[in-house]
Amino acid sequence: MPNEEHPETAPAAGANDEPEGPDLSSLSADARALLDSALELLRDYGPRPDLPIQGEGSGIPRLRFDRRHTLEVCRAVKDDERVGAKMLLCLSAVDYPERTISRDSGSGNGEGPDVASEPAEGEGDEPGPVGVFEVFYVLQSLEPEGTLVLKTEAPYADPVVPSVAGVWRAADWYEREAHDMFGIRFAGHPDLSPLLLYDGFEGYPGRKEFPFYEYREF
Amino acid sequence: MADAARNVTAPPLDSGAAQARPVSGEPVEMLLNMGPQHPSTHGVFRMVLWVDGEKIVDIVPHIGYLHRGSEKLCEGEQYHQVITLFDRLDYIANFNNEHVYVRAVERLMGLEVPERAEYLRVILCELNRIASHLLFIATMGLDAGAMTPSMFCFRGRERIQALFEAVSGARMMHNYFRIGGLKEDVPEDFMPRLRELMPQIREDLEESDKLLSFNEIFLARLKDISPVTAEDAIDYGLTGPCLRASGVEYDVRKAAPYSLYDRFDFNVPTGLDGDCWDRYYLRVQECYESLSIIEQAMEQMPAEGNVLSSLGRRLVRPPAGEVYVRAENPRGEIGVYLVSDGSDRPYRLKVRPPSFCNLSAIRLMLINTWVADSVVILGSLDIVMGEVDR
Repeated sequence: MPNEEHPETAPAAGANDEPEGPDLSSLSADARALLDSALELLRDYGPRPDLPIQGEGSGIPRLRFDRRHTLEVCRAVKDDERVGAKMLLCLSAVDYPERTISRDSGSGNGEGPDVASEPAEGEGDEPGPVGVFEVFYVLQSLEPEGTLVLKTEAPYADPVVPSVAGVWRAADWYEREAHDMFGIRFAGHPDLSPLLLYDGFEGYPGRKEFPFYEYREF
Repeated sequence: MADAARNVTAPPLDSGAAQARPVSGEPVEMLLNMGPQHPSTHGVFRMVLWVDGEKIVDIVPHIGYLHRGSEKLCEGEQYHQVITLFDRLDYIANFNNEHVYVRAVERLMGLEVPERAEYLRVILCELNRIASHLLFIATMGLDAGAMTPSMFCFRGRERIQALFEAVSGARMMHNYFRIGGLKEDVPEDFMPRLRELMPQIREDLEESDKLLSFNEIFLARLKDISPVTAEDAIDYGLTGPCLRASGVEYDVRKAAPYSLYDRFDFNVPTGLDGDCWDRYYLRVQECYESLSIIEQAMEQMPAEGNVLSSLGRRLVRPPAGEVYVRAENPRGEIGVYLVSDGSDRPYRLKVRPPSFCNLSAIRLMLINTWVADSVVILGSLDIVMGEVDR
């Protein structure tokens, strides 16, 4: 498969290491078509194709977008006929304590109304200049068969991402879990009370800073 | 019989599931606590039901009693050690869990698995699927008040587990799959024992099937109870039998074939109404399909050969990258999202547990049903708390 650039996304692509844009040659024709329709659909929100995630057969296309547009992006991919991401398979976060937020992933420059600028509530949270939570959404289209991964970033200092519980109801528990584990606040979620942890648990066990083999009386 | 107008529509998310509902004069609402220790909750699961007489008005599920931090623990273990943690997620379907994890690491490393090992994996996974469904059929019968079928089911499950013990040394928690193959080849008498086992399982299945499936009392307890529409099922991320019962023909083994599943001819049974009985009977049908897959695999499998790739014997250090691998577990679609930073331990491992999503729809399914039905509705989801709580 030729590795062609997408004209509308080429300037924004390569936020990390690949100045030429990511190598999409591993994608199958179907996966490539899915990525292309998603890119076209989300043109207004500045999606950036990233290296495909490895999976069975060819890779799974991966798109990065700014967290300001989370709700719009998710609604669009769900409602669009060609992308058809009717099902949310998985939602969670990855903690990168050493990484700084990539170029245009929202940093106080006129963010959406939902995204507050105050730091997260709670203990064990050390806001710093570096440290990023990568929130990922694994989406599944049943017809035609296709998987798509969306990614967005939230800095330690402001770990807020708009909630998509109103888009897929499956997101409800996933967001509560991610809130438990990482302390990410999902703005607009109706009830972020602890799901897997008990009430009053201190700290965020999913984070890299959380100690492994320490016991705590309770 | 049960209430006819069973138009279960989910209340909006912000209807205050976490707060106590105001009791406003008539009708009188009562709080009923179920669990965490309750024989019908299949583990440690607690539901707080708001009931109006016998009708469930609202429900607040509480999970997390079995939370062991498995995903976090994975970050501290070497890749091969993680296999034991996966055994303990869905502890009814251990082989299926091991399979999806080792496949994720193999994809990351670009590792080829010897054909014989892959066939053995498929055979063991499908046997495990039958064992898991047999347990479901048994407990479904018990939940509805039928004692006898459980005897046949448990006999069949025990036979399967005896074979598992011969293979791996353990009835459950096998720790038998390895990245790149299997720990060791199966014992010499594996194939004769399997050939002997197949008709026995079929017999156990048929016996419980005949006793239970179309039994009038059983039908009265399960038919038309808590139907879930296809739209709701997809929206809540229900997968596996719970999704297919609602009429959506979607099985990862068919839709996105992994392992060797494109080499087998099998059907994907679907339900019509998405009610409890459909969710039950679909699993019975799946057992027969699994038997057929095993028979085909036994024919196709090379009689001998290597079962572990030479790369898998070393310390596993996959290159940096991300992988998402899906598989059809007995309970639904399991996914493993694995981030590697090139070291000998996963950087981040996220499991998409099928029971977690299936259980998240419990509120939709229980509201507006009778208290007495809540047990069979929960049972029909076939949850395993080890996987929900991780």
